[in-house]
Amino acid sequence: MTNEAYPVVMELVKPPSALDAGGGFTLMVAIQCDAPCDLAKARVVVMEGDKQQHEAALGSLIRFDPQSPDYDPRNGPIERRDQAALSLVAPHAIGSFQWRICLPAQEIDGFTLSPAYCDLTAETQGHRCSLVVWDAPSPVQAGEVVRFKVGGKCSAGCALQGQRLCVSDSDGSLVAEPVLQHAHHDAEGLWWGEGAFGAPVQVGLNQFNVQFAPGDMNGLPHIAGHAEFSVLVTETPAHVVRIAVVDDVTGSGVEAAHVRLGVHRVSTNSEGQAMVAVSSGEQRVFVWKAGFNIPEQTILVNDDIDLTIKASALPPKDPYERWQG
Amino acid sequence: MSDQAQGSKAAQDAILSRRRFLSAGAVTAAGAVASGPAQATESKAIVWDREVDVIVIGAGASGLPAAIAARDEGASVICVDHHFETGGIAVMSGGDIRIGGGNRLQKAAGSKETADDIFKRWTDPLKHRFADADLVRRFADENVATFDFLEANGVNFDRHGTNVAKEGKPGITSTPGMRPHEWPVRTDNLAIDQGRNGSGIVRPLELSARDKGVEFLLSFTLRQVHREQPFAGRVLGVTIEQVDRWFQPQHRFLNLRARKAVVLCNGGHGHNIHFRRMFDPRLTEEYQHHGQATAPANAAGEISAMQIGAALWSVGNETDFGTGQAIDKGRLAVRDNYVRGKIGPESSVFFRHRALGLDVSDWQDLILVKENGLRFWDETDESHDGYFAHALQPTGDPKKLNGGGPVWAIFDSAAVEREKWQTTYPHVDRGGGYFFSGATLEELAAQLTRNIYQWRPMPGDALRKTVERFNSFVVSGKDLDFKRPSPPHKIEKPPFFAAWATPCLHDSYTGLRTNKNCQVVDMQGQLIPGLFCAGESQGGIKSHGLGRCIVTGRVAGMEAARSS
Repeated sequence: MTNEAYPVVMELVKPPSALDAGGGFTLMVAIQCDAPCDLAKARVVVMEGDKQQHEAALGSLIRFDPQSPDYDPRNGPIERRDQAALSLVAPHAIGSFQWRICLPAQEIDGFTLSPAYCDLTAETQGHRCSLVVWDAPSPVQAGEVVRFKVGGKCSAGCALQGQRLCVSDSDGSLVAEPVLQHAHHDAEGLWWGEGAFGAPVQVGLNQFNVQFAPGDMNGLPHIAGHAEFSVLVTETPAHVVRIAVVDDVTGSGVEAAHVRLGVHRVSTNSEGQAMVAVSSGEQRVFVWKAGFNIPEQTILVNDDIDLTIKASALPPKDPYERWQG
Repeated sequence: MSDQAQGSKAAQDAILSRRRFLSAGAVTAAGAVASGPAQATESKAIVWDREVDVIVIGAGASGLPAAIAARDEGASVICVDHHFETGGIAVMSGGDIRIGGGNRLQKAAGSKETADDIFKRWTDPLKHRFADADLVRRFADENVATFDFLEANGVNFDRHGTNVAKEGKPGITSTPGMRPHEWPVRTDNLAIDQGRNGSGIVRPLELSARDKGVEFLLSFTLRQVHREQPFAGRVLGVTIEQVDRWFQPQHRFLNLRARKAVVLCNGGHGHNIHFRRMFDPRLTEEYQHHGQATAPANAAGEISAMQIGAALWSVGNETDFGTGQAIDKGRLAVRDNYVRGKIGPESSVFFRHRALGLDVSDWQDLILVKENGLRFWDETDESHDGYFAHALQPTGDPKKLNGGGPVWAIFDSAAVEREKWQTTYPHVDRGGGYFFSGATLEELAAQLTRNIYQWRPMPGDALRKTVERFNSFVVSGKDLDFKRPSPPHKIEKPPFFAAWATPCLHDSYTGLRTNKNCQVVDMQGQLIPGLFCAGESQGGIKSHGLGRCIVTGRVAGMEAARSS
């Protein structure tokens, strides 16, 4: 043990330049000190000017370990110094800020540490909110109810439960106002809800836009994103086409083949069968199944019909074919 | 004892022998390094740490035959490799050995193929216009002898392959499909998927080499080839440097003197960005090279030889699209993404591969975008003039006009279900920055900068617009941008995923100029005494696979030992 103070060197590792206002973030600090004490106990203070923002122990240090599964020198320079991960919360106000991360003079395990500090300069910004729409049916018939799901995510992880959204058509007319209600079970931080509207009467492709309803969320500044989706409106179907996709050699049905008949899309069942209701007239038949060659065709539909489509299994790909020289 | 039982006993003996030898090799290397001096800068100042007749650089498909052939001629041999294992990339190979010309198995199958047929094939004026016919002639003439050599050194061929029926057709011979048994110990094979028959060549050859007295010095890389004068005189030896398990230099050097010759069998240059860009400036850093995580083809031999005057040869082969600088569409979510190079956690090199990767069964399940979030071609296409040509085109950033940047596969959770992918360890490399997920497309895009090759942030709104436009093509049935056949599936169900899908390079088809004896030739057309080269580091034969490497390796080792 000695009374002489051990110098400490602190440096930020890849400091962030932009942060979500009021959002939590992790600041990595490289720390060097020869004192044979447990630096995890060292007290750090975060100051903004003369105002203390945060105080905590450094916590367990991350040490350089070339045997670690995270070590990969191919991904750029390796930080070999001991590092501490400080969990902090950015200022709520938007704009630039400067913090000083201080390690005050202190004694740990009987060893005295000299004071040290490093500075963080960064900008806070509004939380970026993004949207996603799924399960909107297409095609639909004129006037049919279009039910869909919509989700929203805040970059800072704000809970968006209860947030109202606006769905408008290409003319800007409001057609639905779904509300985010549920936390998604598989997509972290995504809040979702359901919406519905009546399909337009005009036949053709219709675009819809989803936006956050005006107003702040959770009292924090948010930059609202938007999303678009398409719904195709068709005439009322007049006929049913029963389709069977069969292997042209074995005669067995081809399961899970994607069938497109005109604008309609279905998949075949375990028997290789599918059924589509279509309007009268010429219809393009396109069937896709990986590993099969299925020629495209056009059929004339003026009654209910049965259609058998032959699929030719492609030979297994020879991985060495490309090397035949 | 039955044949099967005898085979099993033989395999067990071989395994035991290999493990014993591996231990011995490690001791040799460690002991030598401890007394190693600093790197020599002039030939007259060199203090040699070891002296042997022949030094072979590389312990793969060409290095192992070279070492054995030299030893068979009575030479003392040290074989150096920068990996901590032998076998190079060949151990992960499918074992496609293109050697025919009328070998034992061909004759048994009724083949009439001759060395002339081999010569004609590899000098075909349409497919092999840049071949060195003198070298190909020697290659053809040595095919049968090399087959016999392999069998004599423990390689076990049990079948003739699947291409017998193609014999006699112009341009196609029986030689593809000549494959040995796979080595019986899977963990020795490095690659987990079955059919890695290359292990059935390199493992027996390694055992045979050790039995015959070849010394191995592993985890050392070539730094310099020494010659009497900078561009004249004979080759004296090499300086090698120890590397760690990541091939990082350790600043510990050894000087090895070669009384007869140095044989360069270092596997080509595909992993060396600056070297490969001499032939194709587009092949910038984002393109990975098959085998780089096992035995990177770093051009050490070519560069060292060029520093003492060696010439390159048949450079046209490198960019001869279709069969030249081969590019593979690859597996997803893993950095080293050659489609048939799957490495599992039980492999000794998995720590560098980091993930198995995801095999794509239907490219209709995803879209492929560049670093800017934009699609660039029909994802179902795999042609050189279509998909790859456009993948390698710049994305519009004036700061990077060469190379197309990383390519990302973008898909949703519905695609994961259709493809039955697993998005967890060890299937994808999240920690390394080759697989990401996000609740929305914007969130997904924001994460991609964690990949070192994504040099600028992908605009989230660009990715979202790309997907929304693609989804409208699914609704309408027509891909108005790239004419992909009626895209069947929207990308809409969260979470969303981005997986590394950048084309992967394969093979080196240009290398050092040699004569038909595999002796290196300089820029004045003069032979460099004491320097030989084989395999992918050698120019003149544009043949994929192990046959070219094995045949030329054997010739180089034999001729090196015979040289004075």
